[in-house]
Amino acid sequence: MAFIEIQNITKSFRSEKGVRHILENVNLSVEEHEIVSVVGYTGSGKSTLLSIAAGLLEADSGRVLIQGARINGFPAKASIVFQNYSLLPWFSAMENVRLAVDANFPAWSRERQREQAARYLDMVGLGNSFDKRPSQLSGGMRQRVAIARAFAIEPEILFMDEPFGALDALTRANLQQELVKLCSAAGRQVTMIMITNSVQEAILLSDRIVPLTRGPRATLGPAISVELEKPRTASQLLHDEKAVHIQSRVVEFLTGFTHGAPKTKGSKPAAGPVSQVKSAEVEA
Amino acid sequence: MKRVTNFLLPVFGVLLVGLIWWLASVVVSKDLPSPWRTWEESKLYILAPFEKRGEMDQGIGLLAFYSLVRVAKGYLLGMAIATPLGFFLGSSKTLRSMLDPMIQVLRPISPLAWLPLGLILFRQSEPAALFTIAICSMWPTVINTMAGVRSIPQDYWNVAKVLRLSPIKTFTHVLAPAALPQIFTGYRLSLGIAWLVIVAAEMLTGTPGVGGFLWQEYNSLVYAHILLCIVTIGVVGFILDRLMGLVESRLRSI
Repeated sequence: MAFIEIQNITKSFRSEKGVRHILENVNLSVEEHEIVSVVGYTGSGKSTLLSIAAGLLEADSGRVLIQGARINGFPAKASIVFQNYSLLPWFSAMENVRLAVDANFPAWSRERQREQAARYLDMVGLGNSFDKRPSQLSGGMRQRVAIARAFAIEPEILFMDEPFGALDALTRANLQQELVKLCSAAGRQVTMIMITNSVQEAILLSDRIVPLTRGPRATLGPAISVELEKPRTASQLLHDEKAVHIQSRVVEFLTGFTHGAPKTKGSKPAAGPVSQVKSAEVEA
Repeated sequence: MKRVTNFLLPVFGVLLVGLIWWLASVVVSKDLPSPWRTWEESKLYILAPFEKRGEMDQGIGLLAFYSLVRVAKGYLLGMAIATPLGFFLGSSKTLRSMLDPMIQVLRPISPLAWLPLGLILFRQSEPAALFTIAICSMWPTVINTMAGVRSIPQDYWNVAKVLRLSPIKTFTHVLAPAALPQIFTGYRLSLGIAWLVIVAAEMLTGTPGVGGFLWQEYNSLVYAHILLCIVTIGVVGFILDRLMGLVESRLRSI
């Protein structure tokens, strides 16, 4: 059994307007120390999937196992980075990070907790901004604080919910590179599930890419492994043949689904790689 | 130029109201003292605001002070009940559906209706006055605290979950600071009401204070002093609101 097992997850939301089916039969296994990216369109239910995997949201059916045990709330020894930073605006950068350290290492002295927080804030390049409030920091810097907070507890599992989605392209590229460094500098490897809408970002960081079909009733497509040397850099990937090939496979799969053909009968051959294969098999 | 008009326009406003007052004293009722007569008859109280000549015959500053102390007591009592109540209502749907209709019914009841009930309950005028101030001023704080807690973004709840904060820490580190600006809006509105209630409470109980003085002078036909009290109540209320507004904008700027 894999380190993290997501089994048969189905989720829908009810409101006055009716029922919206978000996810249907989502299955995903993540091995220990593996970095898996779920790539999909905005609004396809990626964040919902991550919230369920992280125990922040209850699924209608299905279950999430970590090391064989069913999760009950947010798992211990795990961290999460949200798209919208989710820092507490009434605390300084230092306090935001220290609070997380305190929650995970309550036995440590306040001094030691501060040292730990400072070390990780330094690592993300915020050595001079310990006492700044989130409102005094730029979007990129806020996300740096959030990343420092996630790493400062020395997590075994890291959930990333479109961590760079709210940032401009340059800041985004910068932070992606920092994250690559942090992941390799952390000493121990983390197991990571990342949600993103950028295929490039997924290739840069992950071992395996799993596309999520466009909702409603979104489900995961076949995984594509990224067998490239680590650590990677964005510029190197631009020219790497393998990387370009992976990118086109993911994009093809996702765009194949945009026309909504795969679920209808008698779909055209161009509908998408998966249905192509299936219909080919049926015909043979 | 803008500064001049900012200063001059309110002055014109005051003069305009003074003019209407004067017209009313000439045309509508000869019993109503003109602004000038009001000043003549009240200046003893204004120029020596903290002089005590008798139980009710005191400088307007002292009278206002008694009223403020009474309001402060009733207001603090009200807030001590309203704040936790608002927090509970904000975090529990069951409690909300149970008590919300009750609150909507109690909210519009006038202080004049509560006061006799207070007198029956406590048999003394002072506690009855505090009871009335507390129960009338509670509602804006209850409702705003409730709304403040309910409008806390899901993100903050998630942070509390992810950081595995204890219930107490969730309250002190997340809930309270997130709801604080809105709670303070409640406090500000409540203080306005508490000050509004004081006159009614003191009138009916006859205790020394601005409201008590107002009622006594009406009964002894010194109408100028009624106007003095009205102006005092307005000015004090205005200052209180401005002070609360200052604190509130401080909190919102975080």
